[in-house]
Amino acid sequence: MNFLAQIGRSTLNFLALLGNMSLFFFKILKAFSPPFYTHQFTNQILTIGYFSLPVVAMTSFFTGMVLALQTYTGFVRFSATEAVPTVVVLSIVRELGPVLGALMVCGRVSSSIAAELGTMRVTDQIDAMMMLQTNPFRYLIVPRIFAGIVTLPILILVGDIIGVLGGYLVSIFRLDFNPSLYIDLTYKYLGTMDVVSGLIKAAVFGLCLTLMGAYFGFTASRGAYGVGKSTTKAVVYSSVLVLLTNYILTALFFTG
Amino acid sequence: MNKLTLKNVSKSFGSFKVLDGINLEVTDGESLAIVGPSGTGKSVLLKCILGLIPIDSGEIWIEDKCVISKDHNDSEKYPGFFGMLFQGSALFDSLPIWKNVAFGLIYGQGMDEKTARVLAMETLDKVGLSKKVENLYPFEISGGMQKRASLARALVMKPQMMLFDEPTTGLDPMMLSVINQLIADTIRKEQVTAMTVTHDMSCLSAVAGRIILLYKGKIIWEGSKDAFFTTQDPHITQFRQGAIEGPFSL
Ligand SMILES: Nc1ncnc2c1ncn2[C@@H]1O[C@H](COP(=O)(O)OP(=O)(O)OP(=O)(O)O)[C@@H](O)[C@H]1O
Ligand SMILES: [Mg+2]
Repeated sequence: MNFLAQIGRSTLNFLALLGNMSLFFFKILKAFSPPFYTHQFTNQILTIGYFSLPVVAMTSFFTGMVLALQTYTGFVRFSATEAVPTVVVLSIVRELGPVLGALMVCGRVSSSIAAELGTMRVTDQIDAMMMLQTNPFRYLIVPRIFAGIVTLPILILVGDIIGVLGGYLVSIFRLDFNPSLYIDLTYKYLGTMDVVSGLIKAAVFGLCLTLMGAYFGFTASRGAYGVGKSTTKAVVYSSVLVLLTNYILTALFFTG
Repeated sequence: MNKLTLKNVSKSFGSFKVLDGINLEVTDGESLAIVGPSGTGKSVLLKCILGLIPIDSGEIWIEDKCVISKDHNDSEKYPGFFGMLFQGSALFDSLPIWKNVAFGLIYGQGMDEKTARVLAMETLDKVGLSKKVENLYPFEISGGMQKRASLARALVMKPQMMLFDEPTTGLDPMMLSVINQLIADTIRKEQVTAMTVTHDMSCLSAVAGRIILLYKGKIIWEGSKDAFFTTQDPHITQFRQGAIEGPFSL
């Protein structure tokens, strides 16, 4: 009985959380209106996009290298090593680039948004902003969400290129591929939609991870302890949300 | 007409009743002071009035309109009516002091940065902050200076009603007199209605018109400033003298 009550309570809490998040999202949509704080936008594009570049680049690079080695290990057993470049590029642009990149950005960006907004919340700075006739959704959150949606696809595109480069380098120097043949094979079966679907995913992930950071930061309470908890929640929820939406989007884009 | 009216306002956090049926009327141009021991809900009361904390029951009226109740909160329809000095200063730590003060002018009212900066500098001068601090960040100045910057940030918006949450804690005795005088002048010369939470007797005598004593979520004493300093009410005498023995349980 106790166990059932526990499940019931957790379910209700979860539904309440979803409800609150939807309300929160609705308020953000309402705040996507003038005045636009351009200075805030450029600031956030720098902090969320530009400064995430090293992390995303490194993730993609190593992923590409590992992919080349692993697919080679498999394909060499039935003499299909010619498929390695195709598998590497498709895996990277369709799946691993966006997902692993976004997960890394979750750790970097969701947490910092949650910590920053959470600290502002518990020290009354957000309340103070409202008293100064400035909508905190418009000033603090909209620029971050917008920057997430805009910069993630760019980040991931750069990551894709670096990932393919990683696979290329390993294939040439370790697996003795012919360089021009590798590049030809990389392009041969790559369609526009492969890249575009990955970039659409990236934009959605950008929305998810900035939204989670903003929500948990904005709703922080109880001082430093609360900010710490919010930060953790932001990372956990944004990562799970990235994986969840990734499945949904993959299923949508899946053509067989 | 009253500037502000509270009708039976209550607020609980969980099972802890912080405000318990507060009734309060503040007339235009009046300076009301709120005193009371730590943790009796003075800051919560101010935040409820501003619409920053939802209330559980009762109504809050601005002039002749019911602005806040359990089911609605129209405080956004009164931009610039209230100014607030937060207890913890609440300066934006990513912005330099001058931009903190000019924030509402620039981002709230759409004033251009140059004009806003001039106004901000004038107001900073009024609260006794020299030109040295304008480009510093909040964490680079002392707590007392933060308080004054925060005061400047609220005053520069020229609100109709100012709420001060402990404006003088953390100030040295000279600055205390300056700020008390400044608040008193603001109320008198610019005809701002004010509510001031304070524990400080010098602040009370400089600023207050009427005084209420809040204890355990209720208003347990109310009277003029003169009455406050002469009454033999055991709560007030204990509060005035800072005595350990008395009706307040510590
Ligand atoms: N967000 C909150 N959640 C739970 N309890 C709260 C919250 N805010 C305030 N309280 C409680 O409400 C009570 C009143 O707090 P408040 O800050 O109004 O006190 P105060 O009268 O301003 O005291 P002080 O003079 O020390 O500033 C406190 O006991 C506090 O524990
Ligand atoms: Mg207080």
